Amino acid sequence: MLRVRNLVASYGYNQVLHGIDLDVGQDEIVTLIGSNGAGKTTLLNSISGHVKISGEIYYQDVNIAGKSPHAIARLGLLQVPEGRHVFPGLTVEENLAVGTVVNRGMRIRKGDLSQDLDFVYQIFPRLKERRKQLAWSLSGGEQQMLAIARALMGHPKLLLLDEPSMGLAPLIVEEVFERIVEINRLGTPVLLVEQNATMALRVSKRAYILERGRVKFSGDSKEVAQDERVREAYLGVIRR
Amino acid sequence: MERAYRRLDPKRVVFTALLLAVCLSIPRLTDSYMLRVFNIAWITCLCVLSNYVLLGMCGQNSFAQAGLWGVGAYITANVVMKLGWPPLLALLLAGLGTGLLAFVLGFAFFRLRHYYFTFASVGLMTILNGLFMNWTPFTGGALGISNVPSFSLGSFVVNTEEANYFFIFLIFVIAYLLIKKLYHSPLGRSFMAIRDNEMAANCLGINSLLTKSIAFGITGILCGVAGALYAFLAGYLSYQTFTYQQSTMYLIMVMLGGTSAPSGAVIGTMIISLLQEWVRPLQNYMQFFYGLGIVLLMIVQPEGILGGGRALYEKWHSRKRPASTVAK
Repeated sequence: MLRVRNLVASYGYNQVLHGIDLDVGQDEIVTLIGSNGAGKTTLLNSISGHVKISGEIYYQDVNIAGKSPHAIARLGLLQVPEGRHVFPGLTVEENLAVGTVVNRGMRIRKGDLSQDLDFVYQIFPRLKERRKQLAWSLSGGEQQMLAIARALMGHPKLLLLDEPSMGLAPLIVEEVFERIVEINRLGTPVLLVEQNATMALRVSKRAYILERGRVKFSGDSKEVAQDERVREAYLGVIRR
Repeated sequence: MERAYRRLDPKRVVFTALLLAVCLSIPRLTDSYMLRVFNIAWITCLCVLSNYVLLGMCGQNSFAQAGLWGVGAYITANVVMKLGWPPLLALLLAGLGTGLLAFVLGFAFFRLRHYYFTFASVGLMTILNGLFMNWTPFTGGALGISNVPSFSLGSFVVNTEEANYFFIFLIFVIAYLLIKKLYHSPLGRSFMAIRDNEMAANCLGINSLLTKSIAFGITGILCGVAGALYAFLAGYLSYQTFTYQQSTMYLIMVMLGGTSAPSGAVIGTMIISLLQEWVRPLQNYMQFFYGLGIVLLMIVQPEGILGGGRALYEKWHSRKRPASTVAK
């Protein structure tokens, strides 16, 4: 459903992505791994319209390259940006309500919300306990879950997740990834950018490995995880 | 659920009724000079409320409010005096016209981000003041416009200070309730989303340029209506009223009261408007005290009186019921 072809992105004179090809199919989790500065976030920001690019991005056979971020979001590609971007001054429930703007615009009544809220609370029960609390007062893991839940409120057709594990304790990372798998099982394809390659390869179906702005390697996640080069460079397994 | 709870809270109902009773009995309690002060204060409240919408909700700081206030006032004077249209129509045109002007300008200004928008609004304020001073056919130039008729609806004329008080207070209450409603609407939530994190708001499909322009448009409507009320009340318009200094005053008022709720705007406006009267002998030093006051306020209580009051209330409550867990 998402086809990226020959994507090139630069910041000023500094070229970051050198012709990326990438596909995300229906119902799959695709992960994008790579070291710092490989261009993972730039690639995600390019797809969501935050970075000026050349090349083609087909979403359901429509070229969305060059559209503005809010227009792309309204097509159903919802990004959860890196680093827990919740709205700190709003309560958990208000945060979630903002997530419905994308497909409901400004028309909404209280009753309409409760259905979406119930759905999201089922996946993230912790948020229900905290629903009247201001978002800044949540823990890091809860903020990350809120950011994902908020995107879910907009009924995404493709979820773009940027480093959901960033700065979280290992136990919380497990929990966040469990939820991502559950969201996917309920029918939303996910494009996942991660530094935590072990986790990402475990939950994903296919993987792309990015190095200095080029796809170095791609394939089935299980095979990628077995590859010697990948094991050495990204999974911290030392060859004997 | 939340709303039903609020409606049933008896403490809140009693408090609101008491406040309303005090506001409505002010004309009986004061002389006509003080009543004029109150009338101007309620008009100012509208402009400061617009600051609440733009700064408190949407996080955008503008110095153009006094200019938009002036636009509303001059539109009213021209529509009533040159076209001879009924005052009610003039009031509506002042609100909508100023709102539209601000909305359209918003599209240009909000291409600039953060404080660059503030710079642009300073420019707008300066240009508008220059226009008020020099565009003689529309504003009467340096002489201004005098003898603007009072507000009237059919044979009902609002020409006494007391009648003006109730009229202005009514418009204020309507505006206040609408803003309260805005706070709980998707549009209001979108404003606050942009205030808190513009990139995340964009990722969720909020068109931030359009949304911020709408916020500026609402600012325009409020200031335009305030301008119309001022024209009807004062009867005389001079470019010296609609100045950059006045805009600064609005900002001080909203900061003093607090930006977390519309009541902060009202509290701040009332305190400063009345203070100006009570300490008239110290007039020459007031600018100094405002300056000092605002610096101290930002250090000691950046959330204004409202924030300070809330903190006190929570402290008092947690002492009364030590078992309750206050979210931190």
